[in-house]
Amino acid sequence: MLRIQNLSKRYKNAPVPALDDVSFNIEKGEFVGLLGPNGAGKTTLINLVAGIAARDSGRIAIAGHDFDSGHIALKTSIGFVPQEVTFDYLFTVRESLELQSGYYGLRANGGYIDYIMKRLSLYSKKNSPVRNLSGGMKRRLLIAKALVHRPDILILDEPTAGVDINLRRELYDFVRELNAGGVTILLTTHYLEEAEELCRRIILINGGRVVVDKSKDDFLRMAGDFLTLQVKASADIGARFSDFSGLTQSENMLTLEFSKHRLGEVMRILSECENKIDDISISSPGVEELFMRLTSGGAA
Amino acid sequence: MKIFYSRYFISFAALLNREILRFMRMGVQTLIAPFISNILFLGIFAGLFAGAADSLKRVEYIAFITPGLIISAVISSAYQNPVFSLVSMKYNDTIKEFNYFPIRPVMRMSAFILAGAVRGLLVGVMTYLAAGIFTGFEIQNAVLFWSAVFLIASVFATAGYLSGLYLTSFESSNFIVSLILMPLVYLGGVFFDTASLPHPLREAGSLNPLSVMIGGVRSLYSGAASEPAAHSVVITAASILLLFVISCRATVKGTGIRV
Repeated sequence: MLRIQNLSKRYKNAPVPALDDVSFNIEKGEFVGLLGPNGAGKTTLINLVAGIAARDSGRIAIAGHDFDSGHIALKTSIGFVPQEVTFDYLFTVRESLELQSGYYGLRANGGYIDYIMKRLSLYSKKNSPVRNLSGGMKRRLLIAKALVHRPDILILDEPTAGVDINLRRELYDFVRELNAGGVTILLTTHYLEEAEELCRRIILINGGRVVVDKSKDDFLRMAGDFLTLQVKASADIGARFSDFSGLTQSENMLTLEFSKHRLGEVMRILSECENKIDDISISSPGVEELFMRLTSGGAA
Repeated sequence: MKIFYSRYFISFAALLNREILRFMRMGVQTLIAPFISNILFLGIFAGLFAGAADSLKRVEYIAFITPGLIISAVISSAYQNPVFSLVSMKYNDTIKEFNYFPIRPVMRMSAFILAGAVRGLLVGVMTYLAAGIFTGFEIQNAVLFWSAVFLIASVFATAGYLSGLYLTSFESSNFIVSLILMPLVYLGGVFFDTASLPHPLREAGSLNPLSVMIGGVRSLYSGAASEPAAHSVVITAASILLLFVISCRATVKGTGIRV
């Protein structure tokens, strides 16, 4: 459905590229979460896919059509929900959707527009000017606009940012329903629990590069694979862990992040230092800490 | 009529509809304001210079300035429509949507230009109707006159579209209208015959393409002009061709809409 090969982009006067040789494929019907910290390159990546920004090198193909071909099927395959809530404020909800439908070359699409408005609880506001809508309603309208031409792939750039929990739940249900109906979803989000709940595959980018591309289950397993050891010791035992890269020390406190497969090694060192240890704890860091570790460059 | 059902035509029609809806919704600013300003011009100049008709081949002065006023209103409305639409899209940050809408660049450009020309023509017709109250509704060659008006509106709508791609603020577009466009229009002979200007203004005026356009339109309106209509058509056609080609290149390149 979406093929990205060696995609690179550097903004004018930027010291480092926003995207650096990014490649991945997304198959039809997948639900993919694109994660990364601020400035990782997520929005740049989807802006390149949507054609909003021009790439420096690499290739993008959507629905079997090379991006440069300008083929109409390429653009009609994508529904794009931008991060910023932006509208033509002169029009009503229905007019906005009818115009959008027209831009996609669809005549007499009123039935589907009504369905989308009802499904997104916008129908009662159909004749309201967009400027009078609440923030949540505007967010729904953005999604409705992206869906009005029945795209094969829906790209959502942080669609639940600043949205209350009820609307977030509604959007989750709706996006799941779309995916179950065969629509491929690419979701960028800051909320790890959102990706964990919705996506079946996680692509994590940092510094413009893909750091992780795994199924959600593998990603969660990876989170479970790491352990955090905290030791309060009367003497310096840090030198014994010099072989580990995830070591931090402050006064008599030692923190070590390490892969589960090295647990035996850690236990052996700890037993050798047994008489110097005052307190000890080992915990599993979870997805959030794994995210922090992967995006800050540290790993055991 | 298969073309009217094609995806491309529907996209074009939707954008044209959007543009026309936009200026109709803001009718007080986009249609009524230039109309009232022209009524004031007509009232003031008719009162002040009615006696100047003899020097202008016996045409009443108000009949003389009417085609000039029509053209000046048409030019400024046609120019401002795409500029303000594109700049407001930049303010709203909706302009980037054109990158992923499946509208052909030339279709997109044509919709903006046509909407600007339509607004220009509407303001022109309203000015003509107001002037008709003073001078009657007689036009020497009505079909050619309104065709020429529409063509001139298209030239300035194209110029407005091109400016809108590059400009990023309303202030800069106002600067162009106030300091470049309107002086050219007024020095182009809206209120006087450029042939009556003293040296070297007369020679400078002859370099102003607007004086040729206004002169040509005036000859189609009343027959009283120093400029043959054929010159006006050639200048207008050449301008529209040149601006269209430049605009096409900028549009295809993604100027103003792509990061």
